[in-house]
Amino acid sequence: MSIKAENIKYIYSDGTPFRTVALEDVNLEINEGDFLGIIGHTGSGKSTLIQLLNGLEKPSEGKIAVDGTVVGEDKKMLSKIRQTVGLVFQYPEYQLFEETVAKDVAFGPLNLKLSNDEIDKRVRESLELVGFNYNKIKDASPFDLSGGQKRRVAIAGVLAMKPNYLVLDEPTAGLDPAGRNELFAQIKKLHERANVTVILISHSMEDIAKLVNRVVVLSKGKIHMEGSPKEIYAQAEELEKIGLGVPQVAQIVNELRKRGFEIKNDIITVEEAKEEIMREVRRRHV
Amino acid sequence: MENIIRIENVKYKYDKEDNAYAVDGVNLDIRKGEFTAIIGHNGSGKSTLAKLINSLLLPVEGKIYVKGMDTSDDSKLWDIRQTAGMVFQNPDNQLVATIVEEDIAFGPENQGVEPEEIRRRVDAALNAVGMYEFRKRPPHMLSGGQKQRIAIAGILALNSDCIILDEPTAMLDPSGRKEVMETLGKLKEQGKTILLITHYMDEAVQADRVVIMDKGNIKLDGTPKEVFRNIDEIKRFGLDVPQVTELAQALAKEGLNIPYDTIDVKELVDALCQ
Repeated sequence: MSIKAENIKYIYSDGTPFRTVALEDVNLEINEGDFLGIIGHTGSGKSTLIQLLNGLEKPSEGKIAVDGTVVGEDKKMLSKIRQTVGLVFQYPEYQLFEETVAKDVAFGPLNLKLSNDEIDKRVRESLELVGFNYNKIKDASPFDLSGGQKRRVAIAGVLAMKPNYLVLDEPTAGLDPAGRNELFAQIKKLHERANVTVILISHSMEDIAKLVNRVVVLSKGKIHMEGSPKEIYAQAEELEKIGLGVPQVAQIVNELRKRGFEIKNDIITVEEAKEEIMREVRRRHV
Repeated sequence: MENIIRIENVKYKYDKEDNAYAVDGVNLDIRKGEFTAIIGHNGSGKSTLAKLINSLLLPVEGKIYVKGMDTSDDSKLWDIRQTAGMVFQNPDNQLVATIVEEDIAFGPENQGVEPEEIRRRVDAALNAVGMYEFRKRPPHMLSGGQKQRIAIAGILALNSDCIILDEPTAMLDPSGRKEVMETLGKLKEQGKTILLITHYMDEAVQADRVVIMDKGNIKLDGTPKEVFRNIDEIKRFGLDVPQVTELAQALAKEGLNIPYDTIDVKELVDALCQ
């Protein structure tokens, strides 16, 4: 089971003066159980890519297969694909509209024509998966919740569709550090316990470094780098060249190495940096 | 230096029935030309404070003066909003026109400014934010960082002395954030007073002064160095601390001679390479 993208090309406004190649030569395989991070500056093609993954857009060239089904080949399969690949847009809380949290989460499953028992079960499970106490939250109005809570309700709405893949576009944008940590902890749990494959788009290099096991870096519509977070952040200068930041710790390590410190280049946490620097300082004083 | 904003014992709550105040007895003076960053978790009262300064909200108790004008004085409302202009988080919610330069002209037009003067102000504002070459573009074709620079230019065209920005970079990517921060740095050099509300500690360290809010009140207030050295306290408020300060203090605890108030990468690297 996997999502496979082969030789993807995507062109916006083809045949007009605004013709833009948003994606080119993109080959990517996302396997079940992955926790994939996608980073890239604005306009690098990230959002286009995820819209292709669940069939909201069709590639101009190349093909995408979700668990073996080629996206767009059979129109009747599109709703199945969109259910398999759950997409949480940026600022999903703006999409909440129902009177109560439970009704909002139930909206998707209702459209699947499931039995009432099954719908209730899914609503309860989904809300619990994102860390709510079902009985306490179910009758609340989504509009009385905090920003972080609203966002979790919106994610629960996607989870209620039982997707195998969960795609999150900048899920923590605009949240404060506490709200961000809380949401990421929930996403991590989802990945570990509910066995959902997660694809996370984020600008926050620190967060990507902490969470994912594989990173894809997009630049100008192409896959520029791919690897583990450590492999990617070891190339601080390359990342900065394509308009991306690196975690502050990686900057420090990079500068120290330039000034002759013999330390590893793939450090991404403060604790690791401290250990490495102390080891080097002791080595120098022997 | 003259205080452009005076906040005296200000309290505010959204709901009369509510016992807790969103802003609970704040005293704060902002000097002219100062670049102040306000940080605090969601619900700490920082955005409410910004709206109080801009007279979008009125204090339940206490007084706020903007350039000597009382924000609860109805007749001064437009002068206050002109003196202290606001930029909000979402770049798509604050641009109104279909062409960049028309958007910037919108404010002065409404004030009845003469057409030649509007032209002069719009050009000056576009140059100040480095967007002159984009003046004929439709705003929706711009990146988030560029849109925020246009929103800032719209305030400059009103000849505002003070710019209040409520998480202007929350929706931007790293290069967009950098653009906005560089623009703010330039405006500071030109003598503008800047009040920046942010969650990003790397932005706060670029300010002259950092104010940390928690539960409607000011908990820490000082230069970035004075404030960020208190990492344990800041973490207790649910906030991040700069990784460089955390690393500096961890190394100092191991016995290295590194100042506790290190806030900058270069500073730490220099100290280690001595």
